[in-house]
Amino acid sequence: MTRSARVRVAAVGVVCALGSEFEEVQRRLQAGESAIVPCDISGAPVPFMGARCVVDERPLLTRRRDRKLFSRAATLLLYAASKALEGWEGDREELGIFVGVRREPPDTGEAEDAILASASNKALSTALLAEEGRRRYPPLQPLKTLPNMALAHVAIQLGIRGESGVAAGGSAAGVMAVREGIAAVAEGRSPAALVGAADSWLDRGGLRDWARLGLAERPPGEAAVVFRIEPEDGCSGLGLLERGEAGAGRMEQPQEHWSQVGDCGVADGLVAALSAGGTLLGVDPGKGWAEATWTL
Amino acid sequence: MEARRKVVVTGMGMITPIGQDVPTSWQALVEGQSGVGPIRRFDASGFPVTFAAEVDALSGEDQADLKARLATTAVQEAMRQSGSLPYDPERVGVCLGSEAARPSLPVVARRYRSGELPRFSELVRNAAHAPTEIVADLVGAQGIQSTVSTACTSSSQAVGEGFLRICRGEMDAMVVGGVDVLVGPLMITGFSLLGALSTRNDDPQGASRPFDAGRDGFVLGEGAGFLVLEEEQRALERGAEILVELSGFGCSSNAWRITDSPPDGRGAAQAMSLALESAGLTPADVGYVNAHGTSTPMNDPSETRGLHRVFGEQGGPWVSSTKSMMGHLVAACGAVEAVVAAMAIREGVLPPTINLNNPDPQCQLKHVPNEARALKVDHALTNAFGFGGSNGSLLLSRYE
Repeated sequence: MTRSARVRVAAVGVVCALGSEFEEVQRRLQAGESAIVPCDISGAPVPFMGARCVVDERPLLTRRRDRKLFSRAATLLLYAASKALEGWEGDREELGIFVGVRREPPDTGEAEDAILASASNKALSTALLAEEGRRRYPPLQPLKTLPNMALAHVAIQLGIRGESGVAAGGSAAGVMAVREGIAAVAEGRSPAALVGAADSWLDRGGLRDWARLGLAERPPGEAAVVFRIEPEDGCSGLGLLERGEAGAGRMEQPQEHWSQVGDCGVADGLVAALSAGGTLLGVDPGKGWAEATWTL
Repeated sequence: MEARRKVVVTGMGMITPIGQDVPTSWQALVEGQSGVGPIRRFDASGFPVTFAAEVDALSGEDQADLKARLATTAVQEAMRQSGSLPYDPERVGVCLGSEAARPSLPVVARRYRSGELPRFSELVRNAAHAPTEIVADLVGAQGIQSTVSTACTSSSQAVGEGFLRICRGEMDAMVVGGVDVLVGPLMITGFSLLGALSTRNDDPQGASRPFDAGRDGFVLGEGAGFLVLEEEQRALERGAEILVELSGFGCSSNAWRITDSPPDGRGAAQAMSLALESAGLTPADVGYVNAHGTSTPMNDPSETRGLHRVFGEQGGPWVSSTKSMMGHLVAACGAVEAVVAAMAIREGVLPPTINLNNPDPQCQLKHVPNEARALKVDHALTNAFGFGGSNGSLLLSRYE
């Protein structure tokens, strides 16, 4: 490809422990403010966490059924994507969307009743699962736990029909998604795109996993960050975003912001860059890493 | 503007419910053999669906382990065919379509009862990107490692992402593919509650019948498929045998409903059109489409409308759905069916849609019903559409 893999950031939507407006979050990050609070989930294996994001999803999700289907990460993503789209008058038929997700949203207890009803004498019985367990199994549970549901819900709610992708897995997934979106716009496949990530560890299952991953010494958090990107010469905006390197190898994730908002998983490298631009870096616990550069 | 770097396929591997590798799976497809049968992995007698398309000799309850075994089997076959890749390891990447694995049902039940925490090793092994790391280690790739998780579109988009990375010069070779193992009590329960699975328990081999008026849902399958992609000139320089060209990729979002495709086939058509555009081809160039063709009441007419939008309502390419024989391999289907499309080009044979005895009037296409058709085609398209509305289309072309 001959076109440079560089785009302009036209808007940023963010929601994290420090606020739900880009300028506010940026100012508070730069001022070194902290939103780390004592963990309020009983029995949680961590003492502190990033404060929960304050979002009112009701204006975005008017149907109660939709609110039930949305995982926390999907709700945060929808909020950030809506903010990033404010004022945009382009054609959503061609608007791209690329997001990073950590894993399948955890079963936060919805299937517990069905599983317990399927056990007899401390052993699991497929016969019981086929009968009583099945009757108690939430019919929409499979849909809630598919990893691409955050993207699907946001695309449906906002009418986005262009090129799309979901990067999944370790913490690099958010930056991987950003890099793919940059390429789609820079190479002319999408006239504009929403790129970003959303993650939340702030439920009982998430905090258990957090502790099991050996991360208890750092506060878990939640956040969504979405950039609206357009061709380099296509809009006024908030600086330039350029694809950086990606590969396999272990690197340390910079951690200054963990003391401010908590570790936001796949959205972490994106939150870190909000204060003053620079490198968006995502590093998997395994081997993958990816970066992009945001020049404000 | 410089010409785009061409992407060629130099190795292919797959393990499916109808074969342990590409030759045996292909032979079964050409012969119209079904891989669907009563579930063997657990006692499904009380479930609303008692059959699936399982891989032979694959036993065990640990989904992560089963996925790793399938992925390594298929990628080793692909690498044997391509030969070792004599490139800077940092210019060789891996992109895989996969979902997170789930702990086995007894483990889940024990955990609920006791409040036991998952082990660290389990969290790592079950992660969606765990098979990607296994494959990267196996092939010695130190370049980009990426995992795409868009339900049934996952591996189509993973192959597409590998294609794009080579096109843009980011990598010289990509090992791409997908793996999925979903045949288990919870998945059978969940998908049957959604009404997505065929309940033709008295006729498992007749249950997957894409485009047939009697279809009533898909058949859950499992498997893995991999392709070794290389930049054309680098492959020629090392003397590799080029199997086919991967010439185009397109993807889109339906923004319609979580479980259904739009009846007008709009999103599917957009993905197919983008794939044609990226290949620089016209609809008339395409001789064969390996359809997503799930055998659900909603998908097949929607895909038909999408095909009509791109190719017109009359004529058009030959169309078949190999899910009629292999079942629905979910995250693996895009890559496996890309291998099938490549084989159709190389062998000059179009695999059939079996059980297509009474074509649905809403699905009027140039079908390949029940028996394979000998026909030389130069370009074949393969579709994958996922829950949530992700669409992916890949174009493969004869290499001469």
